[in-house]
Amino acid sequence: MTTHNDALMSCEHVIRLLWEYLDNELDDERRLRVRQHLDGCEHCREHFTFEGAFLRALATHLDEATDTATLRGRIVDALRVEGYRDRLSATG
Amino acid sequence: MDPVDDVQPLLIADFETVALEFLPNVARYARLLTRDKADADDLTQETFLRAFQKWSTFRPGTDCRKWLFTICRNLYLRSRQRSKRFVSEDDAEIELRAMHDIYSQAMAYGLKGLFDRLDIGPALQRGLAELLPEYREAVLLIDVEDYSYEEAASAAGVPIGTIRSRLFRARRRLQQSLLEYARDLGFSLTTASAREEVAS
Repeated sequence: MTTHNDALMSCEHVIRLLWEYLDNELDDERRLRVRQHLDGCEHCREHFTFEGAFLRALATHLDEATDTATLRGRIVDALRVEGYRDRLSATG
Repeated sequence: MDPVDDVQPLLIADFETVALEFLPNVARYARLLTRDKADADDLTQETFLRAFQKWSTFRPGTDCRKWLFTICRNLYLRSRQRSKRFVSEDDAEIELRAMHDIYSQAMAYGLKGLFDRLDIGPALQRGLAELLPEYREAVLLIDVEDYSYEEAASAAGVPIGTIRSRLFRARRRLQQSLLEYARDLGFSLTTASAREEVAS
């Protein structure tokens, strides 16, 4: 990896901060410096784009709607045994 | 004593609207911890029963989802026969380098749009199943539930460096699974080269 601009972070440094950048874990100053590097470095920009797509795909696939209607009924039944019946009968 | 006796009526009324609101989140968390639907349903139910019993200790205005996750996690850890094998916390630096290697491989195989072009659900599920629960937990809390590293570390009861290592390692392993999946589907250096030739 090379340094594309001496005034900016090196590619190696930027890649080291990749996940924290994508996870919004960097402070403003480091975030800005990474952003500046990405503006001028296509190689790193493509890498960040690739990893960002991975994170979006991951969140999408793991966030798939779970059918919890049956489970909810089961939990409510169990809660009734615990003394939840008054609230449930009041709300139907 | 009936568990409800020491719970104020108004707090009981809140339970359904405040706590059960997070049933999908807790169910998903339990599923990722246990990797078994029946076990996850049992764990989820137990979580809400325990939460109901402790409802008077929940402080209104605080994060109920986190409170429920903590209960769920504690129940899971208590019930689980902890693995005796030593689990090392990988150096985040090593994981970062491995991540870069995977990226380079993906580019070499012409998989720039890997995540958009393939149905990666099956490969992700397979990859997740192979992760230790601690690693799945890091992915769920940060990548799905949008916890910060600090919040996830607090929820998991580990230092922030540990949660970072677990997260990076989990992501790297998942990416490795996706790469292998793509190869199984027939992506190869040869076909990638052929595509580039056609494109040019």
